[in-house]
Amino acid sequence: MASGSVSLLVVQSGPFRLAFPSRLVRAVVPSSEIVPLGLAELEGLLWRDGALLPALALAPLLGVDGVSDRGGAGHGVLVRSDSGLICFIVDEALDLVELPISSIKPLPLLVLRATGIAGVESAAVLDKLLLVADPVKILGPQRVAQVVEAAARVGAPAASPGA
Amino acid sequence: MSQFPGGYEHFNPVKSASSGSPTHGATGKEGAAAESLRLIAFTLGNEWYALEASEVRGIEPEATITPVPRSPEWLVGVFNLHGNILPAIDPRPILGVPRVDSQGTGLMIIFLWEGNLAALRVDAVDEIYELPNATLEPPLPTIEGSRMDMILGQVRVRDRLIGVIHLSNLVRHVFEG
Repeated sequence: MASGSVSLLVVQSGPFRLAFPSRLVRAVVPSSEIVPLGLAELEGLLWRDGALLPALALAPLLGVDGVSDRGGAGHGVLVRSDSGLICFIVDEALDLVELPISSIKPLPLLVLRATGIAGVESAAVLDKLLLVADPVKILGPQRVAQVVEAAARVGAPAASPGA
Repeated sequence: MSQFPGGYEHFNPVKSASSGSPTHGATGKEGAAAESLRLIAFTLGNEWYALEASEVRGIEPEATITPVPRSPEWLVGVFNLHGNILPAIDPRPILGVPRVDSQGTGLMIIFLWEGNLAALRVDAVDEIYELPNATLEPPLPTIEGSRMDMILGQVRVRDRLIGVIHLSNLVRHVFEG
């Protein structure tokens, strides 16, 4: 990555097109690799590098009601958090782009105040704005702890000896 | 903050209410300024509203608006105006005007509020009217609740009843609750 530039993974989640900083992203996997659980706090699990990772849909975190119509497609984006990797399910991982850092500007304070959403605080100023998002911040530290704990709880029998 | 390049270019010439004929120039006569209202009239659906011209920094064609997650109904999203990120406000739900899907066909009225640029998305901008202050009538008593604070009053121009928006109250209401 050239200095003075930032690498972003562009994803689509419901009506929102967001860009995750690539430094936060470990991998992108097809959503078919995610084992559905159907739990309220955890949509599924992903087996990765010898560990079960929590997987949850991004759209509800963005305030999108109902289940996104992914038609069986979709991607899981593995994002680093202080508690380990978390898989965020999006409609589609679209592109990897590299943009000048100078093109990233904070959203107006009025907007941040109105939405109250953490983790969506800046945008790349192109012809059309591209919102830059940190999905772990959107989830929030409390929910991060909950989903990581839920994944460990659900995965414990499978990981225990003789299971 | 200076006006944006191209600001006001969508306006027809200034018209006086009494004659309906254009006055000379967009700035009007200095002596009459203190005693007159300069209003920019616009439409939201079938309803007419106006802002005081002094509050407006420019008029732009509707840009591509990027929706922001968890936005309230009145916040359409953000857009790029000459490298600045501006919030786009839909005044319809605030003023109780029925909502229609008109994205891409309207105009953005740019204004400055407490040092922040923002935009009102409207259907069409009509004219700048220059009217005597005395033509401003009190808000209709039928206006309900908090909307009363957002309407400065009303003026009658030809067959139109135009609600004059108290912009700072409207913006304060939506952004500060």
